[in-house]
Amino acid sequence: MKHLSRAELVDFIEASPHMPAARARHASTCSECRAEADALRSILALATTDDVPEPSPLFWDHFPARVADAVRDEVPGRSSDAPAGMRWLRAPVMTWAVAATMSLLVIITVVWRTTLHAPAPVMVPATGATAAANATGAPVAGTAGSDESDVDTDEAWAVVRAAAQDLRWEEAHAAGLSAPPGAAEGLALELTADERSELARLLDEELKPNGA
Amino acid sequence: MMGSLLVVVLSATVGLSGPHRPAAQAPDDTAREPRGNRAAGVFSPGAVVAMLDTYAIVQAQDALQLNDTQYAAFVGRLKKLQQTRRKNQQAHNQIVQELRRRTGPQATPPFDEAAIREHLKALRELDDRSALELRHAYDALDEVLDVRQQARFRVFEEQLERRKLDLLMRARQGVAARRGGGR
Repeated sequence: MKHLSRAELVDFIEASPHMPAARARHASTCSECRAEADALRSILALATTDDVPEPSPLFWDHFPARVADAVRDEVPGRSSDAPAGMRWLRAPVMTWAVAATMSLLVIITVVWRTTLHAPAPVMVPATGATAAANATGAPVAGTAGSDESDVDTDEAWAVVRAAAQDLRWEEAHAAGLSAPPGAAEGLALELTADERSELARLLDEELKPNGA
Repeated sequence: MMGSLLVVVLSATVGLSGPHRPAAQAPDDTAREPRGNRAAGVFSPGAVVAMLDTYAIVQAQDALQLNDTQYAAFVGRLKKLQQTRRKNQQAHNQIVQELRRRTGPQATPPFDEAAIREHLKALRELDDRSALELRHAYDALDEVLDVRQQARFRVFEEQLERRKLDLLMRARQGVAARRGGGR
């Protein structure tokens, strides 16, 4: 019988209920697979017990604020050298964050108003695939995903994209913009087949032990 | 790079890929992709969601430094939390889609106001119920974790979402670059 794949080995050591019984039996009897599973277990055990000191998870969240505070303390001597009209450029992060948020709100309002008065979209009759998707709740490319295919060509959205291009994550986060849990999943379901394969490859790389 | 990631976050936050989508969730029966398909490089949306769930578990174990006893209980309860969130989001999306169908630009008078009210009521009730179920799911998870891990889990969830979005963006950019190079 074929040896266990990497995914099956993970299922085996996790005693996953999704592991077919025949494959689990093979893993128990095949010395090669058992050795692989034992090695994997050891790695997991080591990873669990390894007590590498690391900064608090809040460290990196607070880091930009601390840097901003330090810079703010240093700036007054120099900022007076700047022309009056340019002093706002030296404003602290929060000012920028608020300005960015206000700009985004204006842009979103403009986009919303534009789309509000836009002509109604042409309704395409449901195909068998869309009917099946509606029944199961699965997304179908070209129907539910048609909105985001427009996103790439939407000029208004391009403005948002350009505005956000230089915005730092910390600034956006401080301004209240963050991705709620589950947001990535919704977007993942809208990927094309090629993009899904690429994402799977990237995830596979990330899941490799020790980054190997 | 970070700006592009922010655009992805904005898409998710503003709702370009959000609640108005009829079905932003994969059905449970597709969550386990046949191994043959995986080997051939064919990944259904359900398989990708399952991989993201696995990624979350592996990352959580690393971030929270779970011991063996905690790990077994944690995985089951994290999956429960993920399923609760997914199920409720799917139900929410369906009601919003129905409201959109009844009141959107393509809807024609006379509008069935009674039906619209019913759907709004259903949406409110669903959101209340979802919040309660999510609270219970979080409480169940917290029972397994010590207080520091509970705090870290809240931070971790946000960081995980950011990492996932980063991977999504890299996947899209990778495919786009290959297509651009192939021309």
